[in-house]
Parts: sequence; C-alpha cells; structure tokens
Amino acid sequence: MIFDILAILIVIFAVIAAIILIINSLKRKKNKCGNNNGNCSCS
Amino acid sequence: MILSELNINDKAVIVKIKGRGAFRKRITEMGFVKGKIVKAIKRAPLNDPVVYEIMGYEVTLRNSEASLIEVITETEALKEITNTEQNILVTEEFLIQKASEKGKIINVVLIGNPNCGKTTLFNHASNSHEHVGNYSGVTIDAKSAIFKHKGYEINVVDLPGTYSLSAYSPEELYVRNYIFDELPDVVINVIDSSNLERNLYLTTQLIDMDVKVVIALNMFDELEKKGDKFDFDKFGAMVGFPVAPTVSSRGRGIFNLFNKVIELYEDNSKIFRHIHINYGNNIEDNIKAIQEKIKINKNITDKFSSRFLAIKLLEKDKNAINIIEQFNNKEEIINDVKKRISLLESNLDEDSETLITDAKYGFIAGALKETYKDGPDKTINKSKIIDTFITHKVFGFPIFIIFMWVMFQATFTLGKFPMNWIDNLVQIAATWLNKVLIDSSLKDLLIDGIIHGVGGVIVFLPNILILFFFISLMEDTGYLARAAFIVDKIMHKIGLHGKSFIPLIMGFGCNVPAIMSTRTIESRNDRILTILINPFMSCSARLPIYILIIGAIFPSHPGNVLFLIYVTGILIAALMAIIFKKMIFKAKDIPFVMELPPYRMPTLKNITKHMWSKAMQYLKKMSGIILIASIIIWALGYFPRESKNSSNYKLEKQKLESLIIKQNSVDSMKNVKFKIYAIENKIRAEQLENSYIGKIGKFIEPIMRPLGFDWRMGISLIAGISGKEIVVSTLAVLFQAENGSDLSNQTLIYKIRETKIEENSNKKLFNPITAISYLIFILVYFPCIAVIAAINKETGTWKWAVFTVFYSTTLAWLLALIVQITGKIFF
Repeated sequence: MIFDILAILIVIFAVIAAIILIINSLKRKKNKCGNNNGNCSCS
Repeated sequence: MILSELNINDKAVIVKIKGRGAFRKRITEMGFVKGKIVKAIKRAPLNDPVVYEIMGYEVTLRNSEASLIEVITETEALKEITNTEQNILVTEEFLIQKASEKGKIINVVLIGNPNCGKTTLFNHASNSHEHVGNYSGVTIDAKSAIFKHKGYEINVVDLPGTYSLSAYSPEELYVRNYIFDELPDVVINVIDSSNLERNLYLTTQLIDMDVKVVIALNMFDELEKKGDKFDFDKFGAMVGFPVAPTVSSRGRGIFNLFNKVIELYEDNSKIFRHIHINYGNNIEDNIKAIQEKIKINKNITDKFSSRFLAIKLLEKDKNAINIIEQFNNKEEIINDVKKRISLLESNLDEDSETLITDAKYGFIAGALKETYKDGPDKTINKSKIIDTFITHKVFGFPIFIIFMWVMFQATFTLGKFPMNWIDNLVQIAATWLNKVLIDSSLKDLLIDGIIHGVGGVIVFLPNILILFFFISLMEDTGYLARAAFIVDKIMHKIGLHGKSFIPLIMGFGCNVPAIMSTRTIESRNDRILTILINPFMSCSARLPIYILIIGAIFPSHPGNVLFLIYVTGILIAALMAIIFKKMIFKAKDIPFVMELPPYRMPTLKNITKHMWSKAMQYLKKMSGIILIASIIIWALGYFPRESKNSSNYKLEKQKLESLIIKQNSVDSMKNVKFKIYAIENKIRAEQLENSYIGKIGKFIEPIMRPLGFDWRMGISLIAGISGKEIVVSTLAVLFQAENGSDLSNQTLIYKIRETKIEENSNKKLFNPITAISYLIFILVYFPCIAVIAAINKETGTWKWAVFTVFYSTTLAWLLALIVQITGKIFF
C-alpha cells in the first residue's frame, strides 16, 4: 500500500516537474540570434 | 555641434548619426534620423543623462550617446547665412535645409595594405599631388583633401598603410585609433587585387569593427591580365561590403567608387550589412562570454563593437586591454580573459592569436573559393594540394560518401558493443529490482517506467559519443567545411545551404544530436528550415517498427520496402524544404561565406573535451525530459488498475499457477507457463484498454479510422511520442504477444499479420495499404519528446517546437489518408 502511494507521489512529482519545465522554457529570454554565431546580421 | 552640447530648451536639427552600425540602428529606431528637430528638455542631477524631445515624444540619452549625434542649431545656421539669404527668417524649414546641406559633407578615410595604391587613388580622386612610390610606407601621416562629387562634399583622408589593425606597429595603432576617435562616415578599404588573400585580412578586421566600408578593388587590371576571374559582386554580397573595381593609376572606377560611398553614407546600399566571421565553436563561445561582460559598460559599446573588443582581448591585444581599463568590471574581464586564453591554448595546443588569424584566413579562403578562379601559373600551398583531391569535381563526392559510410559504420558497429553492455546493465538492474521489491505500483513504476524509460535513452550514449568523435575530428581537421562545400550545389536546389547536409545525414542516427549540430549553420532561416525537415530522416529508433511491420506484411521484399521508406523520408524532407522556403522563409538568400580553414592536426584533448561536453549535455537535458515523460506515459497506461474482466483473469491465472507444480514433463510445464503468460498479457491488454491512455486511444479512434488504424494502433502512435522504440513494445502488449524471445517476435509478426478488424470479420487489420499508411505515419508524425525539446532548445523558442508537432502530425495524417484512398481506388 505504502509503495503504491509512493508511486503516485512520484507521478505527481513528474507532472509538476513537467509543468515547471514548460513554464521555465516559456519564460526563458528569447535570443533572436540564438547560437547563431556566423555571418548573421545581428550585433 | 554635437547633441550633448545642446543647451536646455534649445532646438537643433540632426545632421548625421555617427558611431558603429549597431548603435546607429538603435538610435535611428528611436527616431533620431537626419533632418529631424530635436529639443533638449532637462538634464538629470549629474548632467547625465539628458531628456530630449523628438517627433513629439521624450527620449532619454546618455551624453556618450548624444555625443555621437551631429546637429545644427539656430545660432550655427545664422552664422552660415549667405549674402543671398540675408533677409531670410530662421524658420524650422530653413534649419532643416541647412542641416541637409551640412549632411552632405562625407568624411571618408582610405585604409589598406602598404603599397596598394591608396595615395594614387587619393590623388586621382581629389586631384592632389601627394608623393607616391612603389614601396611600402610612403604615407606616414594622415593627408586630407576635399572635393565635390554629385553635390556632396567629400572630405577624404589618406591613412598610412597597414597589414592589420592590431596594436603592434605605430601605424596600425594610429589607423585603428583614427577610426575610433574620428568616426569617419565611410571607410574605403583599398585592396591590391593581385594579392587578395593577404589584403583581405585587414577587411576581416573591419568586419569585426562594425563600420561602414566600401572595398576599392585596386589594380584590377593586373588581376584581369593574369587571366584570373573574380566575381566581386558575389564577394561583396557575402562579406556585406559594396565592392568597386578600380585602376587608380588611370582613374578607372573611381567615379563609381564614390557613387557607392554616397549610397552607403545615405544608407541606400543594398549590399551593406554587418556580418560576423565564424571563429569556430571553441572561440565563439569565449567571444560570447567576454562580450556579455563588456556589454555592461554601455558608454564604451556605443563606440566600440563589444565583439571586436572581445576578439582583440582574446588576441592579447594591449590596446584593447587599455580600453578595458576604463571599465568598472575591468579586473573581472581581464581575469576571465586570461583563464579563457589559457584553456583555449591548452585545448587546441595553439596560441590564441594564431587561432583567430587562422579562422580569419579560413573565412577569406572560403569566400575566395566561391568567387575567385585562378588563371594559369599559380603556386599552391599544402592546404590547396589536399583540397584539389578532397573538393575535386569528380572525386570529391565519392570521398565524402566513403567518409560518411565509415562514420556511420563505426557509429553503429562499434557502438553496438557498449550499447549491449549498457543494455545488459539496465536489464540486470530491472531483474534485481524485480527480485528485491514486492509487487506494487512502485515496483512497476521503477522497472517499466524509470529503468526501461531512462535506460532506453542511456543505451544510445555510446553511438552518440562515437558520432561526435567523428564529427569533432572532421571539424577540427577542417574536413567538415569541405564536406558541406561539396554538396552545396545539390542543397541549393532544395533551398538549403551545403552546411545543412551534415545535420540531415546525422538524422539517420538520432534526430536529437542532428538538430544540435545545426549550430554550424549561420543563417537562422536555413537553420530552422534544416531543423524542421530533420525529423523526416528516419532515426534508428524507427527501424524496429519498420522491421516489424514490413516483416509481417511484406515478407517477400522486405529490403526493398525498407529502402523505399528511407527514400520516401528524404523526398518528403526535400519537398517540405521547397514548400517552407516558398511559404515561410521567403526572405531572399543572403549569400554567406563557407569558411575553408587550413587543415590542422586535431588534438586528443579537444576531441575528448568535445565528447565529454556532448555526453553531459545529452544526459542532463535529454534524460531529464525522458525521465519525466516516461513516468507520465507509464502512469497514463497504468491507471486505473481495475477493469471488468480483470478478476476473472486473475482467478484463471491462480488456477494455472497451481497446475505448474502438478506437471510431470518439462513440455507440459512450459505449456502451462505459456498459458499464464498469455493470460498476463490479456490482463495487461485489457487494463491498458481501460487505462487513461487506452481511453485516449478510443477517443482518437475516429480520427485514426479513415487511415485504417484501430484504437490499438492509435495508442501505439501516442506511446511513440515519448520515443519511437515504445511503439513496438506497445504493439506487443496490445496484440497480446509474448515478448523477449525469437518465438515471441514471430508471434507478434503473426498476430499483426492475422489480426482482424473485428473479431467476427474476415477483413485483416493490417493489409498492405494500411501497413504503408502506418509506416508513412510513423515516418512523418510527431518526432519524439526529446526531439521537440531539442528543437525548442536550439531555436530558442517553443514556437517552432509546437509548429513541428502540429505540422508533422497533420502532414502524417494527410499522407496516410492519401495512401489509403489511392490504395482503395487502385487495388
């Protein structure tokens, strides 16, 4: 029984982690140039 | 006067904006354009910044920014009133007219290598008589002259000749400081056409400095005489500077040169743009990190390009260090630069300055390779000898194919062994947990969700490391740049650049590292386009599904069908590239330089570092997402636990378990065990059908029906979202087949072949048409969570990740439907 509850807790934790991950990605400052280190026109 | 000198409540009209490109762009966007009236409103307590009114709104500028804006005030305009204008009132219109007149004075400097003909050009243009000679160092100071050209007053300054803008010789420092202190409107980079490679080195430094440059291709007649061919327009478009061929000794091309100067000054040049020379990942990472620290000091970066300063600091340029001395965070920057230089030098076993110089020459070589054709009688160096074979018209491509073949062979054959070891370790961990833990949800979660989920990702690590070993080997030796060069023409036909080829090839292994490797593509549009079509390159995780379905439905020609699936992927990718190029990335191709760096011996240290960082990146980012996705998918397939028949099955299972002990022969015991296993599978299948993911499967069944897919196939496709490997295991569970032995595979293939649409129906679920639809769907739809995360990470926005999810799935559905409809019509 206790193991089943533990499994459910882990699943809840994973769902929260997924939500946090998505929110963090959305929040991340957008850099138009990205990793573009070549002949781009940005400065 | 300059704007920072304007008194409060005084008005002035903007004459010109000085400073480097990025500053000018920013300030122009704020409304500070030529001919606009600006009024000083108030000063901050310490006199800096100042609030100005322009175009009806208030803008705050720092004095350092305002000092780069030239204006004309009423008082100045009055002083300039001519006799004919005596009775004119100083109205705003009059002020604007005066500003426009003043704005027609262009300050131009001539910069170039010694003995490239700057002074001859200067004399011809300005009708001066400065001393010239056919040896270097004739000009030892700046000479200036003023002349009229098309209604503009050109104030031209002839600077001493220099080979570079480093702070080694007094001339070099003088020229560099002149550009920074005097801020000329346009720089004319005079180049000796008969010695392009050496002369263009200075040009690469001007590119870094972010100044307005027109290239005067001097002594162009000598180049033509030698029989050499130079597509200077293409070259100009690549480097972002307008180019004018000149023969200054005869005055040829000088008129055209100054036309281009005026065009550039008035911001009408279609060619001019600021580009970045790619110094390679190692140096670029350092440049970026240093730039971030420099950018904190805004007063300086209005005048100096932070990128230029960062490059100069990495080159250990003393003058750049002096500039840094003014910064508040000077110590932090200097210490950081020192650390970075020593790390860079120890990793690449080369002096940092040499590394940057090599990259600059690589840029020049790349630009010239595409635009310059040698006439007869040329001396060639080592790199050129190797290049004659490697980039040869006929041999280049086969050599490249062999390289690729070796790379993929090694990736899969060498990778197989460590892959099996890791797989065994994962199995051992799962078996051990199976023994140790008592039956519970936690045990199922740990084994089915976490161990198999994360383990499934870790097993690919050796392949990825081997792939990256080859890639960094190719990158460090300079071959990768050549490989891209070879396929450039073919790639251009589908709207891509040669550099997109490598990531596409890598997609056959795994789309995640393939998408990561698009970093080598400079053009953002090309990069995103390559990322968007990359998932159509069938990754190795899709292979088991192909083998399973093809084995079941097309047993007579499995190899041909498999080959066709891969080719279909490539064709869809090419087609989508053409469509995207026409619809989304319409912007005209900006030509850019494919650097051809000199060949270099790779260092073990750098390659190891490269592989290590890739390994860490892969494990950290991907296993985090995979872990979470695995747990969630597992939970969706695991809950709710109870279904209507589960108790009956459990009873049946118990009965069979009690029979095992009573069996006499091994065969009959095996038979009972097989029955138990079949019941377990039935329980799992029913539980899965009743689970959340099962409900989702039933929910999406109406969407899948037109494609000939039932709910089980729908679920397998949903499960495949977290990783394509899961599709086969999901199918195995759903079609109640055994798993893990040869017999089980046969059974699964058999079940897939024999399963009917409905129990009492004669129609088979998987007919050849449905099988092809299903394979096409697998090939095209939602790549996998790791790929989506990689797309988000590499493009820096969720927009493209979400777009990929929708467009690929919609496309998959449409293509599968087309296959179904066409199949039904013709067969």
